[in-house]
Amino acid sequence: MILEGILAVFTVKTILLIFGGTVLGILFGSIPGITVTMGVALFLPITFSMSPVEGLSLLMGLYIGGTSGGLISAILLNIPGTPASVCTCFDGSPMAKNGQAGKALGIGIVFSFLGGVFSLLVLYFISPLVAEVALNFASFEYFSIGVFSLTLVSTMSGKSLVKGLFSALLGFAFTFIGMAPITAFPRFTFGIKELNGGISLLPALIGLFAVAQLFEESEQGVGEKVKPVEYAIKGFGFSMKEFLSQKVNFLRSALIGTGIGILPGLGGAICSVVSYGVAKNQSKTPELFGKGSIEGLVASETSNNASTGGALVPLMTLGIPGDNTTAILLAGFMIHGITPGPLLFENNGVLVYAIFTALLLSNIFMLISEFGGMRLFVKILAVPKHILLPIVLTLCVIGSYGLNNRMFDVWTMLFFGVLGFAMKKFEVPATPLLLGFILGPIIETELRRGLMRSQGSFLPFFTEPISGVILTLTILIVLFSAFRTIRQKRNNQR
Amino acid sequence: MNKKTIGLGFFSIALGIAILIMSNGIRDFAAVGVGAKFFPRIAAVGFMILGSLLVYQNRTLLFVRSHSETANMKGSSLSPVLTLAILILYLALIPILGYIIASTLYMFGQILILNRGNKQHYLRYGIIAIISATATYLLFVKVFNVMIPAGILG
Repeated sequence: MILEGILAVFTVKTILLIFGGTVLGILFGSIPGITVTMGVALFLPITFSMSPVEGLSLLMGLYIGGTSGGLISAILLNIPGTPASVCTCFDGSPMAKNGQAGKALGIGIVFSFLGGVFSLLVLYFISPLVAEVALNFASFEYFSIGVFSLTLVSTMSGKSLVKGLFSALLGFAFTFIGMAPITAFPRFTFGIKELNGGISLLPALIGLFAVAQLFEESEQGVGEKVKPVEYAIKGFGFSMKEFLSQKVNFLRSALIGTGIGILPGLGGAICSVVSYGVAKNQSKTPELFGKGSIEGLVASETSNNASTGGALVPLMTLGIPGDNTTAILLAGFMIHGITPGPLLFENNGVLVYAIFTALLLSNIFMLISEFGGMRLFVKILAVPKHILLPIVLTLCVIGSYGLNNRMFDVWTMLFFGVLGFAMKKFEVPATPLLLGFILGPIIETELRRGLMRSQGSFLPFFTEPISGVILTLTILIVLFSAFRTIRQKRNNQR
Repeated sequence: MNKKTIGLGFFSIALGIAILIMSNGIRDFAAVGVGAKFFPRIAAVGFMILGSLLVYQNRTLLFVRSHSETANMKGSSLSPVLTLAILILYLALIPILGYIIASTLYMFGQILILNRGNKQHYLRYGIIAIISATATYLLFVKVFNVMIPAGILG
């Protein structure tokens, strides 16, 4: 099965798709305001006509390339290309201004690669074990995991616990539209027949993350064109001594990135911030952080790329996305009639190992193309945003229309675009809405199934060991967040 | 926290009430456990509680006139409104004119909106819009086999 999966990727077409996806991903990641989430969403419709291995390989390339690409603009423009590369700006940009742009890029690229490969190894060894455990899960456990994931995302996203919960509930409420689970009776369709099937995930995603971005950019204005810092890379850009001095920092950041990446909905940005903070605390020279410290750059870039493999663990083993981009990858699986979850390893083992191989190749291509094609990526940074964004929007339209060949989905995309923009204005985080939208049907279906099994009793949800522990954790997370919010308010009043 | 948050709170309460009223029309079919009404009602109550919390947290601002926010509202850019208007027009035109013509017109207009206040190069933008719309259409239709409305050019 493993060999079959590896060989499935080694066709000329699939290799080219992975390479193209990685290069395009780097482009998306490097252009500020165009995120990896947007990139993967835009290319999802292209995979319709491909085989599952080809389509998912392309998406993995986009995912890996897009996560890493943010470092280019972070170092050369001092503008993070993606939220995950915010901390890369702190030390990458000062290094570039001090005439060490080549070194900063070299360190960023190599440790992005190493972080990605580390998390891939974790994914490779951990996910079959998690899937095996998850095979024993019943409705009670799935309901609890759904509630836990949603609560975790709501409490960790944004500054306000209440707004996070509001966002999650809003996402949940959108899932009521269409046929009710189990009974299949239409709810909240307002007589519109297109709503009978519910709201499609892809147009909602594209609207929330791409169209909303267009509104935001149009409000801020395209601004002045920023000139990238001059750079030159010799070899990898750094010495072996510098590389070896970062062993502990690399391992710690990779573990943090992968660990946080596994938790649903937190994503690379939080991994990067946490790793950077820990690296600074543990450093012998914390005063250098923010002035061009190699340690800070290594921590940020290792951890945000290590989050990629981590985020794929819950997606592939439980069908629960680890971040925004893996939520779109979930749609990618579904388009090809594949449901991620514990049975994926049994029913689609070849595909699973093909994906692992595609991820490894994406990381290798990312390393090669970022060193080899840096001049191209820097040139793309010079394309004005007022030209780029309208082109991206037309791609969004194609993406939404291509899903079911109907304009209704394109209008849905626009609705969610306006909603996403309004949420930004009201400082409501969008990630909980997305997770609510994905997890809502799981939570509702599993609760109703569980109650049918228990003859209407809620007790087994708490008395079943795994389900009980997860629900207890959920309650503790809510209490901890509420306590933290109250304490912050009190501190602010003093 | 500001007055916008209070507005969000009231919106959340109103949404909760609306969902609660509309959930009366749902048929349950539940012999055991909970039916199709259960979660919408839970969500409705949740919206009302969260909305009340948002209003309560900011209650001190309820009757305060915020000059800075009013000024911000007045000073906010017109571009998002123009962008929304041109997007609505674009989506309405796609089935009639087809993707290529509608996208060309949209891109040209959107570039002008985004570049407001700077020097405009109409001819360059026009050429970019035509080439981009045609290239994306041909790429997706001919290479990736994605169906896109051709409209009057079809």
